[in-house]
Amino acid sequence: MTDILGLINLQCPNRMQELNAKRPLASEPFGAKFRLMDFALSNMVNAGIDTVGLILPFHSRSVLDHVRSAKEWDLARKQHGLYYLPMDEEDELLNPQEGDIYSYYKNLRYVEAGQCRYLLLTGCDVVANIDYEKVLHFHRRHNANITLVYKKQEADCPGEGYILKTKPNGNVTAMKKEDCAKKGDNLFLGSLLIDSKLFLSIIRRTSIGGKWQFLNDVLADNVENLRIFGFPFEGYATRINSVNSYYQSSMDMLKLENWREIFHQDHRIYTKIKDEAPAKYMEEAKVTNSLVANGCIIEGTVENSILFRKVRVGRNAVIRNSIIMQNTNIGEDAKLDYVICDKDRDIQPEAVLEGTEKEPLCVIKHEVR
Amino acid sequence: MQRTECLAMILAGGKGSRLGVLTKNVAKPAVLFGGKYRIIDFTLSNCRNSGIDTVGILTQYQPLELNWYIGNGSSWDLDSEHGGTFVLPPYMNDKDSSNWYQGTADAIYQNLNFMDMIDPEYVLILSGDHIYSMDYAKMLAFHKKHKAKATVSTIQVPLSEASRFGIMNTDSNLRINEFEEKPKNPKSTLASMGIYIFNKAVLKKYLIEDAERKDSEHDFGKNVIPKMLQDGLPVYAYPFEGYWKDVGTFESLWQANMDLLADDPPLNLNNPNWRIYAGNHSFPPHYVGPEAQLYSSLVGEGAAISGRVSHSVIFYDVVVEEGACVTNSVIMPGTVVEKDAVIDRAIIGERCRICAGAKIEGSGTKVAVYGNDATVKAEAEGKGAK
Repeated sequence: MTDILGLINLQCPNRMQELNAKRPLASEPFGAKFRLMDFALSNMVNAGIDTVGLILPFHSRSVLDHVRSAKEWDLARKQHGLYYLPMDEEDELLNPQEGDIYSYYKNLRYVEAGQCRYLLLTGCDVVANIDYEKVLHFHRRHNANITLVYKKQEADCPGEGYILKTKPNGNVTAMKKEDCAKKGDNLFLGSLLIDSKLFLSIIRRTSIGGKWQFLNDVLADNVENLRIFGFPFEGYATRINSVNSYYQSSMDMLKLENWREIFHQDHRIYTKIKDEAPAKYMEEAKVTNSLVANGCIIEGTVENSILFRKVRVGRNAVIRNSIIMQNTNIGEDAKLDYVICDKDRDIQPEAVLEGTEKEPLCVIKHEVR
Repeated sequence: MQRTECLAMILAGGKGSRLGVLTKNVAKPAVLFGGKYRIIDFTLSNCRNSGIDTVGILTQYQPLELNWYIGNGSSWDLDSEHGGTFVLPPYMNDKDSSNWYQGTADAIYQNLNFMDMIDPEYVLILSGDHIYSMDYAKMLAFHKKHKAKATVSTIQVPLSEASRFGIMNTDSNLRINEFEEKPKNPKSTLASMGIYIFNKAVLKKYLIEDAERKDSEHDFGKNVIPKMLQDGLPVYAYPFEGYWKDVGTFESLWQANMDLLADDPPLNLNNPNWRIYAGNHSFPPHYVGPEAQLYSSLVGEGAAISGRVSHSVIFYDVVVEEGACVTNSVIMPGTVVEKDAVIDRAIIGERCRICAGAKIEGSGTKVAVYGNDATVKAEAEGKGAK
């Protein structure tokens, strides 16, 4: 057991409008079987956290349908477990992108009742297998008020984010929002550990003071007044903030070492169980360098691709460099290259769909082809 | 509280002696099958899909892994407040010292207290050893329609195999007038599947009588059903049609796995209206490497396939390295097939290590078999069943 209370803010803005305008980022399918929220939830559970609050996005149906009782994450408990923190009707008029402090303020009761010494606050836009027990040790060792988890960038990474400047001992001296993280920058991964009492007092104070963004208006502006430390995360971590980053991050999972680190180590990533049969490869199947989920039946050719649960690939169909989400049928002789296909689609026989590596073609829900 | 109409009692204590190393540490119902499942998953899924919500599972031989696997039955949705899953090992009672189950009927007899506690109208007796999909609700409807006191589920078998089964003769209304257990000269090909529905009160009476008989083997097929017929009770034969396998030997277990690889397999694992539920292991979708060749096979979650796999059933968490070649085989969870190893016509148990360059081949009709945690080195050739 641990003295950490989990809080996941699922109101991350979804910048993948091309793919699905209504689906919250938290519900975006990833890794042939998972949804993005699975990473935040599983990492918390794997650190022994037994109480997790989910701040729900406005369109929360897909989140509720996915998590349900949270049994798959072992959070269906008589005491503690998973708490849904929904928005009220009047809140719908507010734009959460204007600020998250209001959302935290609305849910202060959850943090108070949790009675944990620490609060772990994360978003849902990062794919990583993070050991938060190590973060807690780090936090205690440095006697920090707040610990921010960051990743030193191995390459330029477009998209808005917070870059940390740290002293050699890890103390954060500056925190700045940038449009693009450059190679060598310390990019904040959206996870922070904070002393609960400090969190409560900050939110109470700021909610009436007109401050809106926790990271920007509270942390960045008060770096010198608070004991903020940066925890350098050294494993694989990627942020999903565009169709392009979604596509590249997905393709990263086709490297065996990434697949093992993210999914197949002692700390697993959990997701909704669907009881599909093992994947079936027919006589004509030719599959290389791909991830294939249960429930798939493959008769065609699949290269460098990701097939979610219950994808059917018809005879002589050729799928290359593509991501095919769950319950989609690819008709016979269809040709797909650099395509991201949303779930429940029917790709007609002999259809030809082509995107490019820089601009994968998005086949969205309700689009008829 | 709502009364349970039909209680299912699953006989899951079988040793499955002919499965040798595969049942060294587990009862036969816990033997792995089909890339993901254990044999008992089919019976438990049938219960759930037939609307039966109260299940007693009678264990005896090597029950630990089976008990762990079954847990509270939630994997099969059999953990409802109203019903539930009850694992029933032999226990000491007030009559005499503890008894191992002496036969199928004795196993149920020893759990009469449990049956009284649930107090259903009907009792469905099942075996945890069989691979099949069957709607027990249809059999129950048949039982009620014929106002039977007992109904035996039956299947047509080839005449050449009939003497391995309990064989029935019926009248045109499917009422049974003769039941012969493993007859030398079978008079029909209507075989018992070891699945029975009884009116609970009738069952209780006959079990108590049977328990007192010193000359009884306490077996449903040999003793209880023949006695009911002798007493003139209405016992009916429910005609089941479909895939049904009792995988008692290495060859039949191997064949049943291979049956799944057909284009249109007789046992459909992908039927959305009849799901086969199983325990879950939280593995990711499986990985197929850049040089892999993979066809006519089933592959489970968390496997990493970099070699060549054909006509095989690969369970979850199996690794097949580059240059390795797996054909006509069943590879159970956690096993690693290292570089350039060759496996043909084999069943490989859990967590085995097939070392680089090792060669395992079944011979003729024989399937090569290795039990759990085996290490097979390059120089050692597979020598058939062990």
